[in-house]
Amino acid sequence: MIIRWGVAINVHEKLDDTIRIAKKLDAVGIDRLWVVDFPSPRFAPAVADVVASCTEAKIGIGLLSAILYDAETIGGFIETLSDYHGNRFDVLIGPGDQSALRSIGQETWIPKEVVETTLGTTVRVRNLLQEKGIEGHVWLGAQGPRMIDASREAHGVLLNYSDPMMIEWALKQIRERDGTHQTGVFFPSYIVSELADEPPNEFLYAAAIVALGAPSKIIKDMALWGISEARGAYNRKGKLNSAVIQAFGTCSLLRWGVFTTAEGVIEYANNLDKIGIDEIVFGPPISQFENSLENLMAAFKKSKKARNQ
Amino acid sequence: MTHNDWGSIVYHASIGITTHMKVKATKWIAENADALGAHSIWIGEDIGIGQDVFILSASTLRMTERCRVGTAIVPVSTHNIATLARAALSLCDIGRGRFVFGTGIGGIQDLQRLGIAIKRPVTALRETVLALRNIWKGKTVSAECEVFKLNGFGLHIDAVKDIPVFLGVRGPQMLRLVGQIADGAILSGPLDYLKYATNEIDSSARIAGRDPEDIEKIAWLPTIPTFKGGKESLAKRVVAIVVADMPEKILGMLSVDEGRIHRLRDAVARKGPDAGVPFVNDEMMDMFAITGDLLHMVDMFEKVAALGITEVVLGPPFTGDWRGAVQDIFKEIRLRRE
Repeated sequence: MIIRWGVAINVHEKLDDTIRIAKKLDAVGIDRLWVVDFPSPRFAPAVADVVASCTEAKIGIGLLSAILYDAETIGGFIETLSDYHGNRFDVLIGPGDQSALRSIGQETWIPKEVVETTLGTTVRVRNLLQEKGIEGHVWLGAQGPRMIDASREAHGVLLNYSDPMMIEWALKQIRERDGTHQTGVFFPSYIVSELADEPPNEFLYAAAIVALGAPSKIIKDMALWGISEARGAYNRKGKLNSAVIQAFGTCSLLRWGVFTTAEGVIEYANNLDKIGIDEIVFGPPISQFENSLENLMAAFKKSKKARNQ
Repeated sequence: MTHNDWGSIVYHASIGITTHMKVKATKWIAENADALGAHSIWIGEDIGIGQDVFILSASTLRMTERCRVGTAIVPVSTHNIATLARAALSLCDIGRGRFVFGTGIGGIQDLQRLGIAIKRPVTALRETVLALRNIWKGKTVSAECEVFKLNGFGLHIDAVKDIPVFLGVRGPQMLRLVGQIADGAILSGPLDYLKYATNEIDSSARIAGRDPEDIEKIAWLPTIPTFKGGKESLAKRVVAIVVADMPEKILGMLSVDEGRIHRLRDAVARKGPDAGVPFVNDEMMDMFAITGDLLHMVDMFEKVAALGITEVVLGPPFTGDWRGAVQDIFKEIRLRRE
């Protein structure tokens, strides 16, 4: 098995840019385009329809929040898209961004209920697609141990980690895996020409969002005590700002995303391939930076060439 | 009302589709709408049934170049307001300004079936429209009403999106709301009702200091061309839905058999639209639908337009050789204008 590469699009870029990027990535043969949804300003299923019409790529929809959409609605998205464009669509389901959901009236957040709702929706979507003969896979987006383990009910899990040690920790949370269960990772990403470059703020903020959501078990198991301090700064300010970023420190945030060169990313992908990861998804802010995307595409082409040899 | 040089009433002719329709049918309509001369394609959401309304809208916009595409309607009561705001923004971009956001509170029968009770529907709809317009202006919005709650939500867009908002309404207060805040109304009902509705909208607009001519009035009635083998039974099903969703107050204005109307509404509420079909008689069909041969149907469109309606929508239901019927109807409309 060779690890697949996916790229998240439709983050903050304008629709024309999303389409242009999608076409470029499709032209180099990227394995999957992940069209992200809320809190992106544009609605993923509608954008996915346009992207599907101008590319031949496989497309992932999501993350779709199980708090925002019920299973029938999510199933309807995939069914309609498949009716128009064929069996090219996977879906990623998760709870979603808690603070963004709070801004649209989803104020109650009881972790146990959130896990149950997310899992229930995932299973129902998987069954709905199966009943209708739609081949798309249902992925569960997970970071915490309960959700990671529960992902056995989905076709696969997309882990919100990038650090190989943390990924190995996450894999251990799945008690029994059958051979068909897929594992992928989804992380903030920025690919540079030279490592001397500094990570842009967009990358640091994206990494901080992921780090702030880290479950207490991984903090304890891996002694990531710096997160508690940064979380304190976040709670005091009530928002993510430069003080929170400083509390984390750049070095610490680099563990929550992939900031490297084209050569570095090939090596990274090869390492994850060795530990059994099926798919890596380059998340925001990469789609907002042309140079970074070019570097990623160069790395992908090189990796693909090596794959084919 | 506008006339051409030969005295014919000038109105826009459009096509209506719903999410319940098969992809093959909606695709044909989208692919042929520009060539037919359709002004718009209006998309009704059959809640929870068939295609996703926003994907259907996206694909319809994608497959057309000239005609505008609107939802008619997506209810504010069954979608999160953030989803409505984001979907409309996306569709506006996909259609490069050809998208119209048609919304409403939702059909009486649908809301009952879903267990949604809204105490102050007019206020809820007004607040939703105002919040959406602020979101599309790029503002961060904190507001709440019966159907939504926003706490510092915004799309973080730099350009103002001027998305027309049309309201699918029936009752007098809702009609007045159109006159106050909407860019257009999507109406359905007998001719007497359409006349009443346009008058209500216009007078409300004048009171609000608006020019009534700035507000479009769309009439979407069930249409069934019998000259190409259309099945009347399907039109009856649609009429049953329209009658069941019509506010009591409006029905009271019409000369219809009240007992029959109540039995129909009961049946639809208990068992769905099919159960209402046996109660739809010829009188109701004539009142609530446009049916008959080619010339009669186009005559009826003109009659509807003469009531102050700016756009008449053809279909559904689509039965028999409906593609041929649609082509013939648009050809006849075009010929009368030339």
